[in-house]
Amino acid sequence: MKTRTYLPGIALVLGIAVLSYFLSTINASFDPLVISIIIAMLLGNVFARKDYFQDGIEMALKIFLPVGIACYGTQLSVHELQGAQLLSILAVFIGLFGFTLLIARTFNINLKASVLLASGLSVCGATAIAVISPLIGARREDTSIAIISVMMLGLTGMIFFPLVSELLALTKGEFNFLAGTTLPMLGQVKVAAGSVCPECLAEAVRIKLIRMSFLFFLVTAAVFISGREKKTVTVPWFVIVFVLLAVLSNVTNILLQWNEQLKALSSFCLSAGLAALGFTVDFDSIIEEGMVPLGAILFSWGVVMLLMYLVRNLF
Amino acid sequence: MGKRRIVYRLIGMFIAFALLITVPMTFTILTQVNKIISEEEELKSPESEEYSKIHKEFTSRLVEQVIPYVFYILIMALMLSMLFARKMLVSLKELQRGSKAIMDGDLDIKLQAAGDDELGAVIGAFNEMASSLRQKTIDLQKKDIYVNAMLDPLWVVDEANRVTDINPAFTSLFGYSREEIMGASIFDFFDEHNAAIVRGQLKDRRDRGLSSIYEVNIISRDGSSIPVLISGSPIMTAGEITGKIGIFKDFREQRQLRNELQRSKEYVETVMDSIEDQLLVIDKDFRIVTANKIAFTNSRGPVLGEFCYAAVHDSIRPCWAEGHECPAQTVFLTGANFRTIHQHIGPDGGKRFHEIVASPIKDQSGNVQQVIELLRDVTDRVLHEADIYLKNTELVTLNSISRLLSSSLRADEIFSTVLDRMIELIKMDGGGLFFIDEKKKDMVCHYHKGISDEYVRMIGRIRLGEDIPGKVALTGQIITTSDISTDRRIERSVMKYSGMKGYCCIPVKGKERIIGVFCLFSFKPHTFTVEEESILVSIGEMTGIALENIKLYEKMRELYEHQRQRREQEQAQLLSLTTKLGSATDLRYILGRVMEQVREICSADYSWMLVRGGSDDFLLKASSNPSEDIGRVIFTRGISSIEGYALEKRAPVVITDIRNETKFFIPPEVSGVSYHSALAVPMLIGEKSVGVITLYYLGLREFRDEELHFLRIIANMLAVSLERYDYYIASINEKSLSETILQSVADGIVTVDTGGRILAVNKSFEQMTGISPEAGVGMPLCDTLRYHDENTDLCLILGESLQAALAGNKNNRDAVMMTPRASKISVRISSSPVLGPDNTVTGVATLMRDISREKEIDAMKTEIIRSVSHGFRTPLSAIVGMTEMILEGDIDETKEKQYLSVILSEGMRLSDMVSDLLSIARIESGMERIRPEQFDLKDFLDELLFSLNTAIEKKQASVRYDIGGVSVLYADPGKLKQVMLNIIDNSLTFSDPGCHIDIRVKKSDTDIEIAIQDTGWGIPEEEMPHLKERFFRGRHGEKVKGSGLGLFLCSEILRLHGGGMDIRSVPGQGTGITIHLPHREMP
Repeated sequence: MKTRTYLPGIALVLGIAVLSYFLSTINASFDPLVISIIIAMLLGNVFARKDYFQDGIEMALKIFLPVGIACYGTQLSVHELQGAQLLSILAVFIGLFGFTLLIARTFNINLKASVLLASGLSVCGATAIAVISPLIGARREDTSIAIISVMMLGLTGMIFFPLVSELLALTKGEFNFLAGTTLPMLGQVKVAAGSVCPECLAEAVRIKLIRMSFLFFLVTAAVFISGREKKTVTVPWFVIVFVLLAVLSNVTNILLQWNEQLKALSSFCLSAGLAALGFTVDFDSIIEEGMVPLGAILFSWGVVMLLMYLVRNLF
Repeated sequence: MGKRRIVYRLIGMFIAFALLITVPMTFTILTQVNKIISEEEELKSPESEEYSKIHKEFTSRLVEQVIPYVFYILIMALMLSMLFARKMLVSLKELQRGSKAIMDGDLDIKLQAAGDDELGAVIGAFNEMASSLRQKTIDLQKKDIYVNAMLDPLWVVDEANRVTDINPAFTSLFGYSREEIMGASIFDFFDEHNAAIVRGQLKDRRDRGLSSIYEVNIISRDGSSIPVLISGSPIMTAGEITGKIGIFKDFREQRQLRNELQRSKEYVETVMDSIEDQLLVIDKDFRIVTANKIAFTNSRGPVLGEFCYAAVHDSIRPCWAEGHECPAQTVFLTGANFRTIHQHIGPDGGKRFHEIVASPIKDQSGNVQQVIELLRDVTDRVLHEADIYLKNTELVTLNSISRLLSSSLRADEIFSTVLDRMIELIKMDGGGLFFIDEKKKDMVCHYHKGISDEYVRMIGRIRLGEDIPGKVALTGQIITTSDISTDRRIERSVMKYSGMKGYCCIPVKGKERIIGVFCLFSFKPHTFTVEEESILVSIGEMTGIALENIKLYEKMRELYEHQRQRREQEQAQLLSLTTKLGSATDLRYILGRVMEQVREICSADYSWMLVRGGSDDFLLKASSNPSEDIGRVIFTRGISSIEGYALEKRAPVVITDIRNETKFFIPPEVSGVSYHSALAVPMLIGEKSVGVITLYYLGLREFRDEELHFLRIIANMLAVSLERYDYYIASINEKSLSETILQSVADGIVTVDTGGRILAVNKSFEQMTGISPEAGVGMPLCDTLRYHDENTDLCLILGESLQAALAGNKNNRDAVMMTPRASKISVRISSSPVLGPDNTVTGVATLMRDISREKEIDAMKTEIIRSVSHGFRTPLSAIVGMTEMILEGDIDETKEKQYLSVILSEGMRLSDMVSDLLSIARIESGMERIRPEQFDLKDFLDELLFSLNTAIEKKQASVRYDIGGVSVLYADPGKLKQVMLNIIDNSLTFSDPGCHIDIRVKKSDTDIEIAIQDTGWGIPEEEMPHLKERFFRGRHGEKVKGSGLGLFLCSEILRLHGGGMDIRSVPGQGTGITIHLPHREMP
């Protein structure tokens, strides 16, 4: 009886996830998470009978998002946390995170949405938002708008960076640093870097991976921040698994052979989870938020890049 | 505007699209194309496999680069759609909220417009709609409130005459609730009759779209029938009658009022008919509107609608046309009540009098609309009143005559006035008064009126018994005639041919006789009524009696005047006596004068006053004979005398013939002169007998009671004066004693009353303050001392002291007073209350003692103690200090000797100081006396210089003297030596070695000058004024030891001699001291 109740929702979510996965393979810049949330939002608000899918979607949310987060632990690598650029990357990361948080608060965006925007912009876009949002108990609308806004920003960066590089006559190293530190999503880094030169790709991706590893600390911090709000720190099971898998994959080689599968599973599960999330979000509430979050992160992003440009020219 | 905005937006979007998509896309495509071309060019072999591979992949690579743009555009489109959809969504939500609020009844909703576009306009329209809706709702609510607030009931009925709505007033009046009545037919609330009225109204008026007002009865819920006035109107909707509205007016009260009005009308009519007088209501045209039954009965024609004068008076002309004041017209003009009496000719041709009372009937604005007239026939009353008036006039005349007769004492006035009144009373043209001359037996006209003096002279004297007045005077009977010219009774009379017609003659009767005759006449015939005759006779009698009374009064007055003159004489005598008694203090002289006067008043030949002496002897106190020995004993005790008897009897004793009197001892002074009669009057003050006054007459004398009474008064008055004199002498003696004591006191004494005004001052006070008793008495004490500004404090202290004393407290205060001679003295003010007989404070006695000397002595003592202790301290501290050092033994012998010599010299100085002080003390206390003697001046100076030889040699000084012809001096040589020694010692002490001292003696007219001039250090100018002060030691005194008493002692000694001392000095040149001694020869 229950299975029948859950089935339509779970099936729909899985279907969207599969579709997103295949669509994402068309181009590196296509992020399955973003595609799934957009498809789910369009379906949920335009066509679907919500009641019919409601229970399954709620169940999918409870299943796929934690699993996806837990599995994502394997994608974090601390091996790259070394080298000369680490401090610079950290500085840009802190700058982006802090400034975004400040600007978002100035724009009257609520604290949780601000944290999501800052995380998404400074770490790894949709993934980071998907991971952080259950931890801080963010509203679904905030999660959706944060993902779409960060995506929009990333795409803009991806398209304009080669042009900017050309105009400012950036060296390859500089371009790599710019793309790696400021583009939110890995696919976008790949496209941007790939369009400039094939050898740039590896370096930019390396920098981006370093940024991604900061997610580990961010997750930990988010757990404690949320715990402080609630007065008691309760660590969810998926975070424990996430940390465990991250430690395992960095310390041992046990998971190395399952790495690709786990990566695909993580991406798929997060995709499904976000599809479920997008399905439950009311378009109206997102529309009411408007372009303010995008405006806020664009402003903060622009300021940080301007600072970087100034630093480059001064030193 | 809208179109332009769309164009701007399109342009904006185009630019954004170009910038955001086209530019980067073109760049990317160009970059990639360039890249592929360069790759191809690098290969340089177009035919190679690699080349063809690149060539083949050209499109796919290009597509791959462009694909992200698709995703970018998609996401951008999503975001843009969100941007545009947002505004619409917000507006729609706002509209949704507004709609819901209106549905919920919240009409105050005001929506926020998201922008000024179409959606904003829609929201604006919504707001306007909501506002209009709110206003309409409020209007409706107001109307509902008005309807509900209406006090008159209301119903609304539909076309089928069924009730569709009512207001609360309907329920409260008829008792039907809204639920009960809704849908009911209106005819259920009327009985058949009223239902028919309503149907008729509906059919005739309402169904034709007309309003109407009509009165019906409605059956209320409790079954009672309520009269109401219905105001019904049709309700028109688009020209069609869709219902009716009926507003009810409760008519119960009006109906009740209507009934009461009817009853009132009936009542008024009944009242009007019950009035016995005619009552008319007249309108402005003077036509009768209403009349009572009597008016109808009395009128011979129609009443209502007729002119009032026609109906009431049978007159064809209004009253005012007949010279009467029309009451109706007057009331219409004035608006006030009006009362009048009209005279009309009655139906029988006789005079009729009507009393008319007219009152206005006013409308609400106070305008007179109609007049009520009340007519009463008062003919009898008016005639009666006229009769009464006539009688009254007669009475008034009689009364005025009788008042005149009783009040006036002037015969002329009485006769002329009585004649006038009589003429006036019986309306005659003139008359006269004849007085009877008893001796001549004829009559003369004294007063006349209406006839000329010539005519009176022509008549002349009328003999008694002749003509009409003569007959009346003889018979005492009144004679009247209506026409003297035709009266056959009178044959011979002067008056018969004088033109007189009516004539009467009235006797003026006294108590026992006829005094005169009043004659009255008229030039028209006059019939005298019996009443008139009797009145005239009465007046004649009254006038006669009045005349006799006047004569009696004049006689009485003469008598009274005589009495009064006698009283005045007596009073003048008494006054003279009293004045004499009260005007001087020399009683002996006064009493002598008084006795003389008494003797004169009583027409006696001798009078004396005897008083009882210490041993009850009778002493002569006063006598009309000034040479008498006053104070001698007349009767010794125990001798029986008239005076003793009078005192014993305490009443006057009259001895008519003392020659034959054996009972009383007659003293030789009296018996020797052979007086005939005597009168002794005791002098009494209450129970106390003071003495006796005795009057002696040479002839026989009888005494009237009033004379005795007068004498008793004089005797008592003298007794009082005598007694008062004794008291006066005693008080003068006492006062003189007190005054002597007061004036002999050395301290100033002043007594003031409770108001602080001076009552008395003594001589010392006068000396102290300069205020003499004459100037000071009556002045406020404090004001008299204000002659100097510095006495303000004294006045304050004195005022406090007086206040304290007035409060009953004795007190002493010290103050400083500035005397009129501008010297300042210290005074002690002692004030004590002066107590009256009932222990109340009646004033203050203030004693002012000059305590300046005491204060001075006090200050002097203090000064001496201060200066002595100061002067002694320096040598004593040197002696004590050095003695201590010697006793300690730590010093060598040389030093010890030196110290001992200092101790000796300081001891000597102390000794000198003590002897100087003793001398000063003796001088100041007055114990020191100089013993002047004559001595040789040269010897004196030689001896003096010899005693100073050691000091002179020590200073190597040269001292010279020049006695200038003065060989001897008369003074105390010891004291003078002390002075000279002091001065020369000072000159030596305050000079450098080798100095010169010149002593010169000079003799003037009055004194002898001894000048001592040195060439010493001199004295600074600032020290000059202090040189003669005790213990003063100048700047040079610090170098040399001394007591500071020398010059003071010198000046004191010289003062004792009556001389003095002058000091002159020039610093650095020397000092000159001149001693002045009065030039005396040895007595």
